[in-house]
Amino acid sequence: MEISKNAIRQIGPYEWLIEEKQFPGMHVPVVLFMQESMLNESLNDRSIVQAIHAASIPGVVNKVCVMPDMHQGYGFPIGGVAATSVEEGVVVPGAIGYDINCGVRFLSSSITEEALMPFIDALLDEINNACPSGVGKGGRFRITKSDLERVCQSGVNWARENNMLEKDGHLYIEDYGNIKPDDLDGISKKAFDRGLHQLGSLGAGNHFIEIDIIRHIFDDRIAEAFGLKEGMVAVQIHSGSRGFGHQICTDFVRLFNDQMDQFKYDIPDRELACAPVQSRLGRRYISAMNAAANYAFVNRQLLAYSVSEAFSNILEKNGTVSNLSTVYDLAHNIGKLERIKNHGKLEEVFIHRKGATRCLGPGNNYLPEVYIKTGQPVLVPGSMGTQSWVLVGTSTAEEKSMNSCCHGAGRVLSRSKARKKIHGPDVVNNLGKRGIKIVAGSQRMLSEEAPQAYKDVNAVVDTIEGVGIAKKVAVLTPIAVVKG
Amino acid sequence: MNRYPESIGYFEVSHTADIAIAVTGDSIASLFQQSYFALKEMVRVAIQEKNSQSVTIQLRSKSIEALLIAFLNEIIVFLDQESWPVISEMNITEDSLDFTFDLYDCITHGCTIKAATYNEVEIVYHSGFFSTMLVFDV
Repeated sequence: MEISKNAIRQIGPYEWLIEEKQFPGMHVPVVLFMQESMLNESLNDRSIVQAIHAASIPGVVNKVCVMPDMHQGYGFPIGGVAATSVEEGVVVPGAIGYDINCGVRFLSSSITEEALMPFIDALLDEINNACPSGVGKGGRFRITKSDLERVCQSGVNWARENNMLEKDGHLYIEDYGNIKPDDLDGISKKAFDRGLHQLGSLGAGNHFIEIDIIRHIFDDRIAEAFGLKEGMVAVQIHSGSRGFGHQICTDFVRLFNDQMDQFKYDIPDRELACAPVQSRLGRRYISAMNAAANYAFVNRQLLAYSVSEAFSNILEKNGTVSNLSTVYDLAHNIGKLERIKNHGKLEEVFIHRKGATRCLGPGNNYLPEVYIKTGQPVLVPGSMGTQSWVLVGTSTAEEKSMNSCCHGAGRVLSRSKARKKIHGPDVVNNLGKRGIKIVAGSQRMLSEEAPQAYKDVNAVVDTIEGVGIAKKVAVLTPIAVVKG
Repeated sequence: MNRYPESIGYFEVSHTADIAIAVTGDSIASLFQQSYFALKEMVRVAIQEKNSQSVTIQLRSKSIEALLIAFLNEIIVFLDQESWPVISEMNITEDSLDFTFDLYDCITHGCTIKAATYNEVEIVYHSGFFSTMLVFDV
C-alpha cells in the first residue's frame, strides 16, 4: 500500500484526517496530531500504513489516534491509540507491544542542583550498581515463585508488604499500581522463569534512569500541586515488564496466530493477530497482560526504591537529604477497559495504547484523589541528553484523543542509519561538553539512541499543547543518565 | 535494490524503531539456518563454555512462518539467560520443527533483541530461493 499526502486532509493547525473508507478495510478514520513537517517525515516509512491497518482492526470504534511522536513499529504504529468494542471488538497483543506496561516513573526531590553536583559521579556509579541493565540481566532482588505470583496478583501491594513502598505510594501510580488479573492460568512456565530473576532491573534498548534539573516552571499552580520547584533535582525511570512481559506477548501472539482461523477475521498483518475481547482466548490474554502490567509497576517501584537508596547512601553521609518521592508513574504500552467519549456518548471500550500514555483532565473519575483537581501528570521524556517535559492532562483529551497523549520524542532515524551517521564516543563527548554524564551498555546503543536519531521533543510537546490535549507544566534538563 | 538477498544470506533493511532483516535460503531448512546466523550476527554472540547436554525442542504450528518466528523466539529466550544454542540437527516439515542443540554460555556485544515478531513475515519462493522479511523488537 502506497500512501500519498493527497489522501490526508488537514482539519486543524495540528490535526490531519484520513477518512474512513479512504483505503480498503478501514472501519474508522485515522486522526494524526502533527505538524506538517512531522507528517512529511512519517510518509517516509510505513508508520501511516500501520495506522491505516490499525483502523481495520475488527470491532475498532470511534477513530484511531496518532500522536506527534509516531514512528514505524511492528504491525501497529508506535504512538498509536485504538479502541475496540467490548461486545464486538477484539484485543490485539501486538497493539500493546512486547514490553507490556513499559512506562515512566517520575520522582521529585528536595535537593538543589548546586547541592547535588559535588556528588554526581559517585551517585551515578551507585545507581548503576544498584539497577542492573542489559537484556537478561537479573535484578538485585531475589524472589520466590510465590512472591512472583503475588506480584502478578496484587501489583505494588507486594512492594508495600515487603517495606519497599510507603503507605500512600500507590496513589501516585496509574491504576494504583494494581490491575487485577482474573487468574494466572495463561502465563507459561517460561514467562515465570524469565520473570523470577529480573525484578528491579532496568533492561536494555531505550530504557534509562536519568537525573534531571527542573529548569523552568510554566504553570505555578499545577507545579506546586505536583511538588515541582525550579532548580530542584528530579529523576525519570523508563522501564517495563522485562522478559516476563516479552514472553507473555510472544506466547499469545503465537497462540492467536494459531487459533485465529476460528474467528474468521481478515487482518492485514500477522502481528495484528487478535481474539474477541469476550472470548476465552481474549480474556486469558487480558488476564496475563494485567499480570505483566503489575510486574512492570513493581519493577519500576523497585528501581525507584534502589535509586532512593543510592541517593541516601551517597548524600546522607555528607549531611544532605534528598527526599525522593514519586510524582507519578504511568504506562505507555498497555490495553485496558476504559470509558471514552465515542461520538459524544460515554462508552466502555478496550483501549490499546502503544507508545502513548493515558491523559486525564481535571475531574476524571479514573484520577487518584491527589490529582482530581489538577488533571493527570503526563511525562514526556526527551531523547538522551535533550529536554524532557511534565505536562498536565486537559478535558479536551477526552473528545480529541480518547484520553491519550504522546510518550516521548519518537524516532526519526532508523537504527542502521543512526549507526552509520553517529559515532558512539562522539555522543559521550558531546554530552560531556554540555555537562551531561552518561553510563551506557554499549557504543552501538549510544549511536542508535543518540539525540539526532529522535524528533525534537519540544516540537512534539508544542503540537500536543496546540491540539489542546495537555498543557506544559515544567521542562527538565538532564545532568546524568544510566542507559540500559 | 532487491527486497531480498539474491542468493543464500541476509541483510539489514531500514526500520525506524526496530531491526528488520531480509533473509534468503535455497531450502526452507537453509532459510531457518540463515535466520539463525543473522540473529547470531546481530547480537554478536561470543560463545564460551558448554553448559548442557544435548537438548531437543519440538515446535508445532499451523504455518511455516509461525514455526520460524517460534524458533527464533526460543533462541531469544536462551539469550535472555546468557546462553547460545549450537544446533546439531534440525528437522522441518510444514507444521513441525525439531531441533537438537548443545547450550553454551555466551556474552553478547551487539544489539539487544527482545522478540522476533510476525510483522511482514511471509516466506516467498522465487527462482529456486525461499525468502522472507523478519522484524525484531529491540
